[in-house]
Amino acid sequence: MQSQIQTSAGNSRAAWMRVLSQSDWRDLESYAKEVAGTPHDLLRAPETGLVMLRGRMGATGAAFNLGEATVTRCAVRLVDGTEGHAYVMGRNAAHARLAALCDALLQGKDFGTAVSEMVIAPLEAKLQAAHVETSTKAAATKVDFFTMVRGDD
Amino acid sequence: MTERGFLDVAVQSAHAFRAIMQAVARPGRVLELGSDLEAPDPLLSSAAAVALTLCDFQTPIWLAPELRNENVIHYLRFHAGAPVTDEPGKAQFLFAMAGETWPAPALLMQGTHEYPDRSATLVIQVAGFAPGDVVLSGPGILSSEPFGVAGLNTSFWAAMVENHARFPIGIDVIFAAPGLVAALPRATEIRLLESV
Repeated sequence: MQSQIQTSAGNSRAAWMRVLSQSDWRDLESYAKEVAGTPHDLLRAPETGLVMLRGRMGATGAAFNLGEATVTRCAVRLVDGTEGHAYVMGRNAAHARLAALCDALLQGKDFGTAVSEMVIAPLEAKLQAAHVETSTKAAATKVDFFTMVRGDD
Repeated sequence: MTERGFLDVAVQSAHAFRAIMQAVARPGRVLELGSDLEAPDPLLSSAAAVALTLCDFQTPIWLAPELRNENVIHYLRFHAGAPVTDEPGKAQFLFAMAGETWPAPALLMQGTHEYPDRSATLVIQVAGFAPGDVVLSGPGILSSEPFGVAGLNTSFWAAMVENHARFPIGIDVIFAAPGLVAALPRATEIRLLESV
């Protein structure tokens, strides 16, 4: 049984990779404490680089380069050969490594469910709560513009 | 399964680069290379070290049929980001095995007289080195250097003599044996020994 969470496209791996990479490092570290000791090889040691972010004005028009973001990536291999990958914003090598390790474990039958319940579920709940809080705060400042009806003369 | 590349990319690829550079600078001299990484069969770890050190997304790689399998292609793309091409004439690096066939050096990218660097490098996997085939001389060699490679025949050395005749254009050759590397740049003069 794999993770319950899914993206709208129905891809659960993309969904848990998103949760692992967007979560706060301190949260991931505390929930995944028991995962960290799993023996693994580094296929690609954590390395930091830049990715170009592109955008479109008003979601239309020609794409332009918005700026660069720092990204750290890592790839690990478990003893059984399963590979895990992670891309994380920022320079936290430990975050990328632990996220890659979780990704590898989540693909397996043995620990997939356990890691999903122990790590992904609480992290996703936190992300969700943070999202709701931001939305609520933003909603409170919402202003409805309307045009007053002017007199006839 | 993906094989691990260099453990410490920055340090180990610098060591590998140093070994390859020394090999090219001193044609015919055999140096150690590739003891510190995994490579997918049948790619030798020394040949893999050459690929991971010198190749990137801008250097198309051609693989001989004996070396071409899914694992090797995935390995080169994952660790080097290098595209694998079917056309030897468009490849900057070619990997082949001694004793098998590969495209004639004259069909590979030779560079131009304005840009002699736009040429191919042929990496040949060999069993080992045994001086006795040829005597090398030229840049990087004090007087002369006896050299020989297991499993390469007279026609190969004849093609290399032709390759040198085209200097400054032409291809460069790197020999990768288990744990070892040697090179034969186009600038090197080759004299075939009678016994070959």
